[in-house]
Amino acid sequence: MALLQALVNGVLVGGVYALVSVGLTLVFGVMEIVNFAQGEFLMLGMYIAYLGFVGFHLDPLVSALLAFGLLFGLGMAIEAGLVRPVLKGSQLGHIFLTVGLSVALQNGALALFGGDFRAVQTPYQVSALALGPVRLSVPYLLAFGWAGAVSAALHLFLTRTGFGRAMRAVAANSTAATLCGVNVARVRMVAFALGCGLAGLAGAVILPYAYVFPTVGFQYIVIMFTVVVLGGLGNVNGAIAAALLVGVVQSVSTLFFPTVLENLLVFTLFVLVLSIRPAGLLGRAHAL
Amino acid sequence: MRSEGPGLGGAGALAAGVLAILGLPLLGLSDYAMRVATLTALYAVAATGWTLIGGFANQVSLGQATMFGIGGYVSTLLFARWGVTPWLGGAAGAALAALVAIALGGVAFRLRGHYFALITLALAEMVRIVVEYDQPLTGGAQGLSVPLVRNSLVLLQFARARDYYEIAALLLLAALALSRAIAGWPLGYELRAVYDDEIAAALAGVNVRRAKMRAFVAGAILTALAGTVYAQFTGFIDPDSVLSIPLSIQLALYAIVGGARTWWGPLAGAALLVPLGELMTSSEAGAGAGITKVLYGLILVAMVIVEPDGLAALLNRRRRGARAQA
Repeated sequence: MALLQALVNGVLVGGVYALVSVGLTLVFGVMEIVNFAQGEFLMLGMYIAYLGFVGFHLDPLVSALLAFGLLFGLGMAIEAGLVRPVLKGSQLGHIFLTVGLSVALQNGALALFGGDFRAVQTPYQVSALALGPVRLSVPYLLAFGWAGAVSAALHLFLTRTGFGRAMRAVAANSTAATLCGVNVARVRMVAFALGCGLAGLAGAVILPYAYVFPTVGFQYIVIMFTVVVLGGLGNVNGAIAAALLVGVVQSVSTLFFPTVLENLLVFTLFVLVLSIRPAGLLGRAHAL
Repeated sequence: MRSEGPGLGGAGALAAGVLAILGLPLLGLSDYAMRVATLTALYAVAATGWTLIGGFANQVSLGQATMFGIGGYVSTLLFARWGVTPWLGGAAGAALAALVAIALGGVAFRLRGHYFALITLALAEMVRIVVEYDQPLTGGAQGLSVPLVRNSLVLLQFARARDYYEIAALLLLAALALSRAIAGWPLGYELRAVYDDEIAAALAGVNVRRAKMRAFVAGAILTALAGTVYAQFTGFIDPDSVLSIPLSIQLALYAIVGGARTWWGPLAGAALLVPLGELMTSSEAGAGAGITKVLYGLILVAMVIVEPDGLAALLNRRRRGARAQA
């Protein structure tokens, strides 16, 4: 019975991991940049929702939209001002630009908010639905619902709209896309902004059940990397499938291992996949 | 940009540099200033270790702190549990770091670019988690204190910072000499070929894997030795101070700001940023501990946008410009 409960929890958490990770994989697919600051955008989303709750009594699930908008804007500015200049340069620049951003944002939050762990008190915080023998935590369920809705919207955007198709074209082959008249610079900007916005939204959505503190992003970045690598860097559908898998593995492993070692297992999975199948479990990198 | 061989001045300039590094304590600086100088030298050594693989061959590792931590933990554990002198402990730490480098490299060198950066980050985190978990042996997250003996060259402990500095300075000179030598050796040419284009290098007959492994192992040894002296110097280590991702980033930052493709860049970066960091941390008096690191992050961002090859390249550019005008 504990196993069933762990499976269900794993799927619920995995849905949120999907939300957090699709942005990362999207940005890699389109720009071939691993955004090491993705965890910090999640952290910013959490703080935005936290401030919205403390200042205006906004439910985090509502301020999620605000977090998305603000981080989308920030992402556009960062892409145009910082990422674009290094895109043509060396690998070292690609990596350390976002690493530097991550350091600055993390410590900026530390200077601004201090190192305290903060949380919000929502009415549904401790409630759970009983489904037979299994209990579904309401905050997890709501977060999962948001994740599902956003994933569906993203899927529609990428497959049904012109701009979404352009984005997939750039991911497949940016030169060919340019020749077909796609404005690659604009696609990249929107992709990066979308990645940031989705991370911010995810941050707000998990606030009802998670603490926010300046280095919270690091906990998630570990999982994000594992998810996107498992799914194949750049592969959105792969990331969603992998996110559910990682959620389940993590949740089930707590039944057998001490929680301290929870991440060790995730990392082991990560290293194994990277060394055996660098293109991900589902193969094909670069398939948005 | 083509990178040339060793560079930076002739024999005279080198001799002056060596004398300046060794003779620093003669200036009669305060104990605090000598502490900062010691830290600078140790971080410069560790960053030099990163540069051999990260800078020379463009294999961007995000896990160099692992080697620093191994140096610190091995010597401290041997010293605290069995009274083994850190001189031997440091050698043991360097040996273990070399073995770990071979094992990690065996896994990580199958991958390139972002994948390599990601796997080094993951492997470094795995080491940190294990050290934190195995509390009976390593002290876990609470860390380890070095038993205090005070002033014994045999046990590598001193009352004054300037004595530590002399040890750190000698290690620094050895590290710089090795790095400069490698840049001039065939290995240096191989690494630069890997930097330019790994596939082309392999086609031209470079044993890419072997070249990377040699640089990685040499760098691991240097960084581990710095870790041992660091542990003796500060008297206390924990996973946050010697095994963390932020430390790995910090080491790369020093090298990148100074010039990751040169043998002297890591020293230049550390000499600039370590005192700056200490100055800011002491002046803000703990008010906002994050500010220094915010600045580090912004410097890193600015540097890769303006000149990813660091101050070294900026200097070269100016020198070339001046020559063109003459």
